[in-house]
Amino acid sequence: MKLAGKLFIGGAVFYFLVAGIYWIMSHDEVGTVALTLTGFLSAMIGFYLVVTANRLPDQPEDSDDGEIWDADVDYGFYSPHSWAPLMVGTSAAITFAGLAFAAWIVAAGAVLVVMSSAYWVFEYYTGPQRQF
Amino acid sequence: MTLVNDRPAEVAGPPPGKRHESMGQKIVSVLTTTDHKVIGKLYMTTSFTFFLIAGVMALIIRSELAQPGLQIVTLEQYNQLFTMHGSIMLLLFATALFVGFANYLMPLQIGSPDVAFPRLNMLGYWMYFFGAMIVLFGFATPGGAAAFGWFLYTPLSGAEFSPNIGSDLWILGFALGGVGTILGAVNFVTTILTMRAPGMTMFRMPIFTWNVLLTSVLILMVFPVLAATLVVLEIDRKFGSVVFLPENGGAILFQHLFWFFGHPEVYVLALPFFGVISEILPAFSRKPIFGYKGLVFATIAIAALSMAVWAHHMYVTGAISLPYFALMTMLIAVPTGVKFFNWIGTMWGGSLTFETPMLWAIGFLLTFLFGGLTGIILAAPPLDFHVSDSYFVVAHFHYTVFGTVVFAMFAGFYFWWPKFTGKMLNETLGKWHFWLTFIGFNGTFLIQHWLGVEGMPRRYGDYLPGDGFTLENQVSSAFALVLGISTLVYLYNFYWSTRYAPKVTVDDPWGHGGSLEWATSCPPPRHNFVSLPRIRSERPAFDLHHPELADWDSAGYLASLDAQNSTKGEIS
Amino acid sequence: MRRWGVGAGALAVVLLASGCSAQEALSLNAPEGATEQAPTIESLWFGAWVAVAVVGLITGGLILFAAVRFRRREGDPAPKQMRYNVPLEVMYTVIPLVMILGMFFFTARDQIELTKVSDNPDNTVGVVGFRWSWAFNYVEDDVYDVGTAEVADNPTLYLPVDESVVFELQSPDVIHSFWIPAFLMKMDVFPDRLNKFEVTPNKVGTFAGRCAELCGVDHARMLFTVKVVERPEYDRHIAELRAKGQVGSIETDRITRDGERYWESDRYLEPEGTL
Repeated sequence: MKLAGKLFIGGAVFYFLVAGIYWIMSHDEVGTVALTLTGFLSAMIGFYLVVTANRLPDQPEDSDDGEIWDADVDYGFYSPHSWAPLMVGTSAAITFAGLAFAAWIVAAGAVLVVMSSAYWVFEYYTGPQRQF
Repeated sequence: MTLVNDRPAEVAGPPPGKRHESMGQKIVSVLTTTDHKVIGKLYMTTSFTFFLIAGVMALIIRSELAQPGLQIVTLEQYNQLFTMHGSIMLLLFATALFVGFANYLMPLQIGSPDVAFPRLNMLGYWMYFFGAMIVLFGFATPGGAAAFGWFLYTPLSGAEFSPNIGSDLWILGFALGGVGTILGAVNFVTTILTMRAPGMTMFRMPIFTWNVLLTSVLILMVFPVLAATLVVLEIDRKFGSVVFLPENGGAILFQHLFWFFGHPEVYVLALPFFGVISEILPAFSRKPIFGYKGLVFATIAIAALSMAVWAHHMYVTGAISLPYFALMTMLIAVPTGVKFFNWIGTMWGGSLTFETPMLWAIGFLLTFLFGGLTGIILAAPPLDFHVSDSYFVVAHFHYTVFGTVVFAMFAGFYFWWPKFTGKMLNETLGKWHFWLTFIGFNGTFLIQHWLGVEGMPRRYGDYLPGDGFTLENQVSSAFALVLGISTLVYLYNFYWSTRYAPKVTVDDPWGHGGSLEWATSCPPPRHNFVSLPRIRSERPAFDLHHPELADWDSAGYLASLDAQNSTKGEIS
Repeated sequence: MRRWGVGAGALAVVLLASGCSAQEALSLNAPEGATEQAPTIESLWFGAWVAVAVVGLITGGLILFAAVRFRRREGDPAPKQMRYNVPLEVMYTVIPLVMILGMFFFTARDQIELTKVSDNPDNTVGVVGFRWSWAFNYVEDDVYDVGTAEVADNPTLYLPVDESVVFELQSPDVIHSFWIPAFLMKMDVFPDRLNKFEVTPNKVGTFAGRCAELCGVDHARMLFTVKVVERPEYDRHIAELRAKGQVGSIETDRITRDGERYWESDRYLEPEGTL
């Protein structure tokens, strides 16, 4: 993960550099702003990854000698099936398409998005004390 | 998780006594799936359907252009046809196909049981699918579908000049689909960074996975720009804001914003399919990919540089810095060339066989080479002044995009069909499919270079008999028919495989696959692996199946496992 | 294998022996340039195609050669599992980089020359591209001509031969593009800026002109003709226009402010694009 973080930060340096060269050669605000913001996005992702990698112990996938049994035994929970994506997707579609027709459809769609997203978040919630 | 590398036989098939699923249960199972393999197949099937739909539009376009005069459609309908053909092919076919291949293969290649966010994965699919439905619904409206070209320049795409609701639906549908693509990219980056199997360091990942990572990064950087631009345009159209009005410099502003997305988008399309080729060439050359690190760095360079070249689509606007964009655009040719030589280096000194996937891969190499070279011509502003917006550009982008996306798509389909479905596609039909496509494609598009240079602009639904364009258009249209027929051969092959092909019983029917998907069954079980081999190189499955050729002591390791198992029994 | 070699050799001989038709082939049927600027473009075009063809033949040749030479034969052992060769990789990074920088030098030099607009050209034509035809304002003579999308009514632009002309491009509605293929030159026509380019036509003749940016339903019918003529015939045409009462100029009221020509107001943006 640290390598990826450094790649993103390298990218950010590249974009800031290019933004500077671009401004000098063109004095165009649009492209300069776009490139600078891209640099910030890349830097943000990169710093997050580096910070997270520092916080975590060394991962077996980053080790040249990693063995399969070094992996965490518990892979975590994988949702086996879920209606939530279809529900949120349909709500999002209603919201977006509604903008072409009438404002009340957008409002209704937004409400549906909130409701279906709530279902999504709490789909596997079994109460505050439990841990799987 | 066992350490033994051969599997007990009963895992291979469905458990005995399982109830046969009804059609309704199957449909629900697909609608509510969170399995990256099913989602990948959904994307691949849906995107291929859009390929067929947009392909039919192309055939109508070519039929109309075969003769001067309007025979089949009106000019208004023609404008809708090429707008929709372009947008469907680029955004609903090629981008979605990337998500499909990446979804199916990337988790397998890194040795993970699924993606990081399985439900988000499916949400991305629904946003794509519903976005596509919204876009296509424009055809059903009285004003017709959008007709402003796939790059929808303002003021043409504004409320005054495209008042029809089909235009609004186009904008909103693609905005929705764009958000879905962003969610997919988030998923891919997270999965690759956090869910690799032990020993799968970044520089042991397959090239395809590297390209998925870099493509996803590009998507994260540019699809928000597209989504924002489309939403602002829609607000201009619906609520009368003035962002893109000419009085406020809106025409040029729109072009900058669109192409800041639009150019990296074509690399979003190209990079994953370069990755597909990078998997196929080693498998049929029986040696590793040549210059792995060079390929990775070249791809990083291409991805980074692609963000800096957008206004080479705007040379003739008179409003941009020509030297800056010409230089940056020409620079991209360098890492692309490096990739080419690495691919040739993979073949060089190898032991090549020409099964269908390899044919498609070589077809890609030749086609994309030609397209890339005409790109160098276009990169030079003095030359672009003449050929910009002409059929020369149409020829160039079909050579690069069709050459990459379609050739590599079929290469990938023929290569990974056993992994996706447990059956092979027919080799003889495959060869017919390839040659008909190769001949049809080159016949259609090669001559368009001449057409453009002679002076035929793009997006013309008609031309005059005295223009001198007729013969070339007829040749192009005739070969387009061949191209259409080639797809029918593929569809028959699909049917043949489903109906007649025997089931594949081995992990790797081709014999020399390198990445981890070839170390599990065809098709893989629900969470991909029953056991994983040790990962010590960029081709762990090859090291498992050909330990004598590994660059580490794979044979010794496997022998030690056998020794352990014979004395201690299975370890789980 | 030997058959391939003989075939390749024959092809090379044919190509080399037909030097001038190689030029034609590489020109891809470009119209013969009708301006003083055209030879600059044509020589860059030819040079670029030669470079591109050489790279293409070498690369394509390597691909096809590898496909034939390294074909697996029955009983072949596993090939050498070569993974990298750093000097080779460095070489095929550096050589293309040098070629690209060379090409950029020629490109930049020519592009500066082609986008120059002089302060005192012999003629100035204000071109208005609108949905879906063209208006030409002959600025010095204060007459104009305008057409429609009907083929019989497409406008004709007259230009005197061997005199420099600056085109000032503007639009009242959407983006169009002013393309005269015989001049090997086009430039976009915008509703929010004035674009200019300069050429000196040096060949008498009649040439096609087309709109090259999608502008709506009749984009394909937005055609015009360019007639490059001797000075006396040009003057006669101007007098004809004057006699028809087409005196003054067509203005684009969308971007003219208070009767003032847009490009004389302080909202006028200098065309940029040169360093």
